[in-house]
Amino acid sequence: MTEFSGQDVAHLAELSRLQISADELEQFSTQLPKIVEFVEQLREVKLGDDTENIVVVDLQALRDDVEGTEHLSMEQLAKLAPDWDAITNQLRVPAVFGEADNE
Amino acid sequence: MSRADDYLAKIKVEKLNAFRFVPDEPLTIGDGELSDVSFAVKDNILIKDWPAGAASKILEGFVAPYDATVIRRLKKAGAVFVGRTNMDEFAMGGSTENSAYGVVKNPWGQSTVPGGSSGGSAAAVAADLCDVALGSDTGGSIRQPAAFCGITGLKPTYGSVSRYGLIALASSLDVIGPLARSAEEVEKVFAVISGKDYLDQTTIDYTYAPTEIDFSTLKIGLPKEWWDLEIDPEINTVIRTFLDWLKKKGAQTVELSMPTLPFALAAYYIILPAEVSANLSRFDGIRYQKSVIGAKLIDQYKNTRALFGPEVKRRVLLGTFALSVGHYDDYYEQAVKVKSQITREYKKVFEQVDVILGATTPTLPFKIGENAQDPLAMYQSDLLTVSANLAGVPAISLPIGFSQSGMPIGGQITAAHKNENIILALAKAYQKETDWHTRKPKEIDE
Repeated sequence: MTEFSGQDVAHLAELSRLQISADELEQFSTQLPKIVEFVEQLREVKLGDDTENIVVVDLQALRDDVEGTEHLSMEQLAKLAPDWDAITNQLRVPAVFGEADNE
Repeated sequence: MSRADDYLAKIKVEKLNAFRFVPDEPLTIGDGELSDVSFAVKDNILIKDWPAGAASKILEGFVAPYDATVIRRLKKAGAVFVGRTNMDEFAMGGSTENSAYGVVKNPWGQSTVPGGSSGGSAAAVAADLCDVALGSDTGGSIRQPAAFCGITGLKPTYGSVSRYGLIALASSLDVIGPLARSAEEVEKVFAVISGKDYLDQTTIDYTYAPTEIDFSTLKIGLPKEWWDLEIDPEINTVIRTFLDWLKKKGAQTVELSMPTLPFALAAYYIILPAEVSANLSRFDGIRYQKSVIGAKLIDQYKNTRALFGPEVKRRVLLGTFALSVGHYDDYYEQAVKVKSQITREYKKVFEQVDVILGATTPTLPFKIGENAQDPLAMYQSDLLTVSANLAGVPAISLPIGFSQSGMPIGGQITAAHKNENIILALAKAYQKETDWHTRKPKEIDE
């Protein structure tokens, strides 16, 4: 069985930008190995000679000049932003780097 | 009082927790073939100026700024909208217990789940709170709740219905479809919502054309990987009675094998979380109103994403694991190869038969809380439905009987790409001679 230490789960949470509680950490450390053990049966599949990946539908080029296509206005987008500077029409977010990062 | 007003009055006092949002007045704009047909819409399909939350705290307060393509088409056809239905958070689950707004109860037995993730939609139709409901199906999320609630649900061909305005779960598998009592109603709605859309690059050229079933030439495939499975004995009996009916009508049955089918669930539970971990990265506390402030940007991401429920977090973590260096080839790459092999097996089988038949679910509707602590047990409820999503083929679940305890049982018919007309014609023919689909739960029998 694939081992998952609490540290591994915490690392995955960090990579996923997820904040998880101590209870969740404990719960996921037990559950994730079981799920991974289950999906490991995929190794047993005998793949045929044709291993080319199939895409169910052919992708079409997206067009935005089709008549009737509506676009969202700046005002609509601004309404969805948690912090919008109406003077400069810019989205405001917290600093990417804190003081500690600049030292 | 119009039909829609009637529904609205009932929805406002419903006790199943099937609805997430109910408007003051029914919403209708156009006039056409669906005039007077009342729709409930799953909480992950956008309706302009109505809240949309995928039953998640992370989207609390979000109001949709535009209509999904399916909604635009339905509005044009005269559809009337009476509310938005509860669901598993971001469509992750098979019981609707994962909603941040509480579990939905099955109208046929209120201590049991209605299935999921479109559990609110299925319960709303079964409880007579609307004519039709829209759901989305990524691994069985229309068919499994349709089976659990005794109604008809269609998972269309991947790409036949636009996903524009659907809050994404796994983009390579997601498809929107209708749930209603009868296959006839489902067909009417599918004809309106299907077809190419320039706003979804995966949509295909497709105009739905109904057909008639000629039983004398109909070939039905019975994959041994499904028929040899140990499923609930009552479901086993009922599906064999359905098969007998088909044989009596003159259909030919063909026993066949699809050797990769038993691995569909494992492939699904790698591909789905991988796509989930990517798709849900957009919920970062910046773009969709809800935000939990932090000192630095990364704190804001994490604080906001703490609002995800446990099943969502579990799948995001699993997806991140499957896509990470050292595991990508072993898990994700292998799962995609298995998906392709399953697709090839479906193609080959449909050169031989017109449809494939099986049960929709391996179990009857289970008790609320029964599988809540065991994610793997919960995932098993997708056992018979996920392969259609992996192969992108259409499949329908229709009511074919009841258990001794009075719970509904669903049968699943699958066909080749774009052959919705065959499965719908077959379902309609069956429903002409049976009344399972017209039965209503006692509590709401009028």
